Amino acid sequence: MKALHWLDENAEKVLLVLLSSVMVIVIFVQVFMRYVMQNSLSWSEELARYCFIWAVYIGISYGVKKQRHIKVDVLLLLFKDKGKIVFNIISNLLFLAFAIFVVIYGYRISEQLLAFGQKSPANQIPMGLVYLAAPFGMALTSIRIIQNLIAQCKALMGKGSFDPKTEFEKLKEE
Amino acid sequence: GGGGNEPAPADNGGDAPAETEGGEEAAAGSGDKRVIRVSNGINDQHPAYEASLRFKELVEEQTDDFEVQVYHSGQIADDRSAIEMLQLGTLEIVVTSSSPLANFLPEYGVFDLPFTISDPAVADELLDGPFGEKMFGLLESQGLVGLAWWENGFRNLTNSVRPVASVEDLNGLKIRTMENEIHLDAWREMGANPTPMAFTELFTAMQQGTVDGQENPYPTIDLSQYAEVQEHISDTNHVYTPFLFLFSKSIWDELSADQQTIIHEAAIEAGLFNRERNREVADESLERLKESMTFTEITDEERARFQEVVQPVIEKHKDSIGAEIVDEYLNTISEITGG
Amino acid sequence: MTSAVLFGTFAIFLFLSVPIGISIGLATLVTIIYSGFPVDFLTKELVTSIDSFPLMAVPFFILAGEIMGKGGISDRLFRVANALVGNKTGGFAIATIITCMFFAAISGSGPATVAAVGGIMIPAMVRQGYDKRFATATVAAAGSLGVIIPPSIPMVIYGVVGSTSIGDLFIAGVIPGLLVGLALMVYAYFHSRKKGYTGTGEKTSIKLIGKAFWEAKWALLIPVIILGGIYGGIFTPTEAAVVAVVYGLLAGMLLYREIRFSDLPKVIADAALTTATILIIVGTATAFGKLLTMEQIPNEIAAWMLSISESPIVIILLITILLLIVGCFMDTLAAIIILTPILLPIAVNIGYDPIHFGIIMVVNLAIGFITPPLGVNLFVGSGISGLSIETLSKSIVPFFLAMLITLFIVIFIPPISLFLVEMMK
Ligand code: NA
Ligand code: NA
Repeated sequence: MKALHWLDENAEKVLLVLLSSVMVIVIFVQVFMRYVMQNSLSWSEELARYCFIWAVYIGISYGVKKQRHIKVDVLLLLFKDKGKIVFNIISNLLFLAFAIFVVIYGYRISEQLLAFGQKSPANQIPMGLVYLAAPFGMALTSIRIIQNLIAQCKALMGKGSFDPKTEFEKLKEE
Repeated sequence: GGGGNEPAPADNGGDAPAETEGGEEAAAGSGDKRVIRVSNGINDQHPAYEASLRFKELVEEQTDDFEVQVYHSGQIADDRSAIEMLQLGTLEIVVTSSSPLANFLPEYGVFDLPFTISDPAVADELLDGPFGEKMFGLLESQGLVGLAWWENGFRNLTNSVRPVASVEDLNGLKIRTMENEIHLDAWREMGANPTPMAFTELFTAMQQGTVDGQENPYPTIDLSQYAEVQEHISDTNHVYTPFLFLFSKSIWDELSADQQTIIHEAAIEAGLFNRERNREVADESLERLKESMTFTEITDEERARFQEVVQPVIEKHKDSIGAEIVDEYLNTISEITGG
Repeated sequence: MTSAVLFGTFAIFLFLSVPIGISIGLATLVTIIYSGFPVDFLTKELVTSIDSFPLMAVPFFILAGEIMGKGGISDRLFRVANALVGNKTGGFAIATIITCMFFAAISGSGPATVAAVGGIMIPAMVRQGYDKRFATATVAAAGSLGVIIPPSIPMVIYGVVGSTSIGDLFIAGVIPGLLVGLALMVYAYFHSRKKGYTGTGEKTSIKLIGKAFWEAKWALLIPVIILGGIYGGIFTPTEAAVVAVVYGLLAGMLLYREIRFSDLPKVIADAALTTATILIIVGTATAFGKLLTMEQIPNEIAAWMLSISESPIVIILLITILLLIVGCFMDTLAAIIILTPILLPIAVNIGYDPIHFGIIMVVNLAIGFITPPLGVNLFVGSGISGLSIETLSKSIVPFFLAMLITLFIVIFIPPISLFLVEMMK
């Protein structure tokens, strides 16, 4: 239970810090090797790029957890709290639909590409693993959206609390 | 992604505003015609684009079944990604160089082996013969159908430091290469410091000296206006890169035998046109480049030395490419050249 | 018909407050299904489109910005600006704009510049007797400089989408950025004179200015490292961004001692989050753009525009108006990804250099940061000051006009963008 709670809090964060650190270190070493050591690396750029792709899709999930995705929510300002929650639920359901689509079809193409066996040029990483980033990240995202949806439905029924404020209103309070 | 054929020259942003062929018909509603899309990584000034248009003409003359749309500059996808689209059945045709294919089938790495082909006539005989057939046969396992060999051409070296006539002249030069282990090893073996880099940053990188030089076929060098930032050019002809005219196997299998024949013949005929044009354009490009760059010819003796120096690279990559294919490739070439 | 489905569903999802990137993705999905395309195209494009090394300048510049933001740099930058002009009429307003310009040379984002500078400067200006509305509008407008003065995330995206050199775009943005800053300062000065906002009254001297510069030296070195590194032939823009990150960490941890090692995970995770919210838009908008291309829509629009008039001036004005309208409603990056493949060929056709046109697009869409209803800088400014969007929208009008005038100067005098690029050759 405790482990689950820790994962809920930190899963994306740990992965993001790990992937970002690899990206920074690897590219910095690349510059250092080429400029100072006069010896260019062939594997660094590719490795950093694949870490980047994975970081983006895990970051999308983190963005849902932190409710930080860029959206146009001026229309929401017209509604009272309950209306806002309903809107939020609709928006979340649409997001969830997209995420599930990517999980299913993104997994399908990763699987096909893995079967064909294409490898990356520099590090010989199976390309299917690179494409797996999207379905993996969107699977995490789906979990986060469902968590939000549960909180929103509870709030709609008057149980528990969910903050339906728009980005704009949140900023105003800071 | 790396390892691919070069995309459009850096400043081609949009040479052709309303010229993706087939546009008007599409707008008018293509009825029940099947749309066939041809993806080119190169830009619309390149002979391969011209030949793709020739392919469209040939197909549409023969049948009303298809509407062929030709795209350039990686508008649909870069070559590696376009090959994947063929595998997944989301795109019909790509005209790609052999280099990105090596990621799918290591055997295609043979074409990256340096200083193996030195004459276009040799390339033609090699590719149009049993060896070319064998290479096409490998594609099936990758969900691809190889219809014709087209041409990207010989790659040649430019740099801003000194004329390159011998192996020694390469010493310490920072050369931008494709992200390809064989190319990287070859340049290292020749004493240069090879650096993979995105094509779009290459011009500025050469201008500023982040790299000293690059290597590409003459038409690409000319179209990318590298003469502005590079002083020396040598006819190293270090690698001959073919283009492959590839069709998606899953879509191919949906076509009737007649349709397949029409498309196959058009691909071959357009390919012959492509080779002829490509060689003309390469000559014209070199003439233009000579006006603003010093041109150095590599003598036969020096070429033999280059071949000798890169021998370990061929040995090193022989197993990963496939020893049998490498031997057959080299043997066929020496048979053709009468060696 | 296809374009109606594409844009129609996009608008609906957007107004349902679905995140922008996801709205574009859903609209693309609906259109793919409508036109009988294989859906694998979209899922593959989500990965392929961000598989780009030049694009990686985005996360690194964001991370560098986050690190700088933590290191107390805005404050030091302001002290430099204040030492320079603080005692003159409208001094605090002008110093705020200069601070934004300094910060813009570190950050690649508009809203981030507003957040970093506004947090300190809006309260400071109010304490100094400035009207809160004017103070907030000043920061919101000057925050746009974040994307005009290099580094710039929209320029990175334009460079990737339009296959142009990011390094050249960066250098081309320098003079237009200074010009926009100058235009904002001119208005701020006259407004301050009219309202009687006098200076701080503090005496200044070369010695004081020198001291302020010295204290801010580590921050002021960053633009030198970035541009100097790219143009000195040491690294590419993406590598420059990484060097800025490492430099920022060293400066923040060792020299300023304002970042501790234990702060790092949060800083890195925050930057990765911001990156992801931007890159999902890149991913889906690229698929959207390719679908447009495959449906031949850019060609139709280009043919239509070129049929309206033969005159390059008329066409560039049409493009400008289109971009200004788009800037009111659409996110900057989504606009660049979707419109560049459509507009760049037209611009090249009528004789514009791709680098020059990139600057035109970026300056134009930077104005979009301060135009309602979707004006991100207004949102951030409003968040900091507590003023309503309506109030802010009114006080921003003169700044909007100042930027618009500069935009026209940038459009019609190409050397403003291209002079430095040429000079570097
Ligand atoms: Na900036
Ligand atoms: Na706006």
